[in-house]
Amino acid sequence: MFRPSGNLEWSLACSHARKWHFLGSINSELRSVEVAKALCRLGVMSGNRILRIKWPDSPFSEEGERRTSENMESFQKLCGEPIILERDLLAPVSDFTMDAQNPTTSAVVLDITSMPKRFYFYYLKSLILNPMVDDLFVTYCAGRYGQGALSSNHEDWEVLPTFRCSNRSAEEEARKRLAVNVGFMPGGLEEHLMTDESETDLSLILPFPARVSSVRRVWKSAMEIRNQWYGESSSVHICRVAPDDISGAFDLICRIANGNPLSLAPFGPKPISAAMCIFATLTDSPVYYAQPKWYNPDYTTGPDTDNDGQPKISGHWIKHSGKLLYNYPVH
Amino acid sequence: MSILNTNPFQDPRAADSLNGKAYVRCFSPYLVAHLPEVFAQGNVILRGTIGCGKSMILRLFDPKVRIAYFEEGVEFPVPKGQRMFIATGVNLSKSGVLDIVQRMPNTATNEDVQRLTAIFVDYLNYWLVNDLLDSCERMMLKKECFEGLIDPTRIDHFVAAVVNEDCWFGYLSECKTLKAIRERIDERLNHLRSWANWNIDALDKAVEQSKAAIGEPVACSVVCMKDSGLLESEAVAFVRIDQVEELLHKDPPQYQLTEEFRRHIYRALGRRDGRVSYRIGTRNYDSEILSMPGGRKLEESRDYVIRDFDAILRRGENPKDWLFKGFAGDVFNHRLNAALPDGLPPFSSKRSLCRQFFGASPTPQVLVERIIVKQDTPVEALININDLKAPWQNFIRAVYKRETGISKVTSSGYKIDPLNAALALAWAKQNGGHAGQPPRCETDEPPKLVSKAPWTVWWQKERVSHAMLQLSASHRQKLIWWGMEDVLALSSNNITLFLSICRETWELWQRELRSSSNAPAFGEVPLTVQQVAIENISKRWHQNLSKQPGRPGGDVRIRFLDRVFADLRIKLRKDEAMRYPGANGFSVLLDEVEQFPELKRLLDECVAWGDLECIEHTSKNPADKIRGRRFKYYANSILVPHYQIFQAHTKEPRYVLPDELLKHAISAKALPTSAEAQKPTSQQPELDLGQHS
Repeated sequence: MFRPSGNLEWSLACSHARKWHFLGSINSELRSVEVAKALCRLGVMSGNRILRIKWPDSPFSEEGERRTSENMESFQKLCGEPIILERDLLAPVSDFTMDAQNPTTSAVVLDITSMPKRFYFYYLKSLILNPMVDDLFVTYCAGRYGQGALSSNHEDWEVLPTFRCSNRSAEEEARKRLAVNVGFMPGGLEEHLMTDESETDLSLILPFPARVSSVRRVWKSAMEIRNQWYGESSSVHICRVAPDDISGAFDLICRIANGNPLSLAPFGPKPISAAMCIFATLTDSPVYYAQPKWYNPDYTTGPDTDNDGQPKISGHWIKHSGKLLYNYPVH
Repeated sequence: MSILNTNPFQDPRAADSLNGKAYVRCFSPYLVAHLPEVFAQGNVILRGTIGCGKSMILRLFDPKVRIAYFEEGVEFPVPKGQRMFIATGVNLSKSGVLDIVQRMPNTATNEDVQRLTAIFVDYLNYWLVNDLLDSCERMMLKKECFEGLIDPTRIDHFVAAVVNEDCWFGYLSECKTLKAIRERIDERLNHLRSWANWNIDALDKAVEQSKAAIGEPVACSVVCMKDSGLLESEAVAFVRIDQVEELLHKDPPQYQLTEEFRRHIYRALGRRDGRVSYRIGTRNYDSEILSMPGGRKLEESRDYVIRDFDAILRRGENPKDWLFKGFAGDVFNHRLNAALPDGLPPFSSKRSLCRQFFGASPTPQVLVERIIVKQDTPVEALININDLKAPWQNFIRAVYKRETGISKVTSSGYKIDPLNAALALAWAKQNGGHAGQPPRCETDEPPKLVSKAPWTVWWQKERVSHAMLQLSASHRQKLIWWGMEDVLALSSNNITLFLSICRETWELWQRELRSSSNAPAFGEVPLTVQQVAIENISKRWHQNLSKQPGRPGGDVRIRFLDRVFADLRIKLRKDEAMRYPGANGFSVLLDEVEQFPELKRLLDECVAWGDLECIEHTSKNPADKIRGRRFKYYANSILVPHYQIFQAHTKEPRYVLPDELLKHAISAKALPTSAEAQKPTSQQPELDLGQHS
């Protein structure tokens, strides 16, 4: 199925112009406001909800708060007053069940650029399942990543809220095969593999092509994960997909699953994680993660830019005119 | 299989992660005899750090393991008189039962908390019954493995009896077969999962109206099994609840809910009706035993006993009672026998394979010869004698050149004696325990050259490791470890750690054997191989511990410990008088550290995850008698090579104030600066211990 995705303006132009309800998150990253600003400049945003995370107290809190306030001001200047959803990072689902409900229009942009997974996985799932949402468009602004530890102080290996299989035995089956979106920080995953014997098959999805520095860091993570694998060497599979290709990543995950139960671990680029979310939503697959609680204020040092110096923003159609563009082929 | 193409320690995880045959072949029954309470009636709280062997023991409750023993023709390791049992269990983390917390409203009322707790209890109840029935079915299928414990011909009587029990409130009344009961229970569990995960909005009325008190359904089921003749009437029913520490982890407002969950689990332990016996598995948190609903508090010994694996395995005053030593040796033998079924290559004796593999650890003299190889190294390069008066300088030079009665003759022909020279310097810089007096080197003449050592054997023993640290640092060499005693000490009484050292040593040894022209034979691994293996494993565990989760996570905790132990090492290096030879650890007063809740939590978490070892101790500071309890902390022994300190826990650790630890935590970005908000009021002097001779 053709699923338009690519440069923000190009992707939007694939269908007729419409007004969009915007759901995004603003934090200390400069890139967190880029998509909202771009949509405002295009004049297509009709309403907004901005997730502002209340981070657990950390040595980075003060600096993080200062930068977040600056980014909020930057949003206000161009897009007007935001409707802020203030949520604790580890808030129970009951706190944010309504966040993605009742949008101002039936067309929704979900900007996952700076949104923690435990929120955007739930939002994306709700928006996919919401029959009132006709058009669903996911956006992402690539960033220039900082050096050293980008995040720390992670939680236990656990399912992302609401992403447990509804059936116990199905989850046990799914746990035997794990697909990992490999990123720079595999915190929690290594420890899980070291202490848990559930998985017998491991697929490592590496973002490629990517910057040389990113490729190096991702391979380092892959090696660290591999070092904790006590299963057969032949049961570790390496696969590659472009880091900003939701559609390609979804197809790859379908191929990995090949009609069998699969569990997912989204540790890498957000668009690949979004593909995992779509797959899990359609197949009732479990998604595991170890949520970091502290983020380095220099997680990204700014948006990644194209040859013209413009932020690299990609847009991905998930639903169009009431039709979901993704489906899991029947095996 | 030969020793060249197999590594018996390939999977260093303890036998808890191995299945069937592999478990039977690798499991060491060594500890079973030392843990009689685990297989006896009564409630037991089992505490211990990850990898200590706790889960490995608990797996003996699993009928699959017992079947595997039978099929392999190996005697089941549980003592004969304690084999009549059936077990069920839940892992709070893996089962998804804690997903219910996601249903907690932002502004939860007391009513919300009570309702969610009732649902948690219901989930737990049905999970346990489901697992009990699963065990029962497995046992029925292989009844010959269970020595008359189960009689499958009585299953219909059990079904007829159990469905009419009051505890189900009619939920199972339509079920006529075991299969139907299991399907009905499965339906309920999946329904609860869906609700907890927001896949459905409301619970079925049938579920809402049939919730029972904690432990009641599983206890009733056990009674019905016995009454119907399905289960031997004398059998004990064990209920395992693992990872209870998960209930300590939730932050406010969820903590209100998880605290209530804990109270209900304690209520199950407090029933005292003997129908089932609970086994509560938890990491080493010093958590408060909360009151049960209704107000009564559990009483240790009466309602439960605690078995702390770390404490059981820790070396005590008498080395002969050190369980870990025998345990590790037995695990080593089992792994070797499992990996080399055709038998081992020839070796000198079948006694203590482990000792033959690692050999003996070095004496201090051997160690110093390995570290300071160049015997023409001048004394000034190793020991700072410049600020001593000439007679003392001459004395230490003479000791260094083995020209005094202090040095013993060595068989190696080693010409210098840096170790005694370093000790002599420390001796010179001490004042003999006379507080406020100048050191000996300023008041006394040095001992005569022909004299034997002026210090006592104990004084020397307590300072040898300290001296080795100073000498190796001055010589810009690393401290090194090898041999059985060192391996056991660095394993931190943790069997997974011990197996990790074995695995790495075996792997490096194989490489060496492959490049050797001699026929491979089992025997002592060259010490250079062991040194490298231990160094590698120390580095790797430093990384592994930093990858553990927790609150705060391992990376944060290890950043903090890196600062603390780097600082302690610097202090040990600078302490030329060796006044604090026990300062490879630190000690704090509980009352003082509790004034800084975030620091206390950081230290507790370090202990729970095994980064730090914590032991209560008697203070040598008279003022502490009225200031309360004191705890000493040491790094996990496997980190000792990484931190380049020494492992021995002799003498008093360094007494510190919490704000010294706080400074390290803040500079390591392990705690925010706000953690420093309160300052302790009491002024605590640093303990003066080292001047006694």
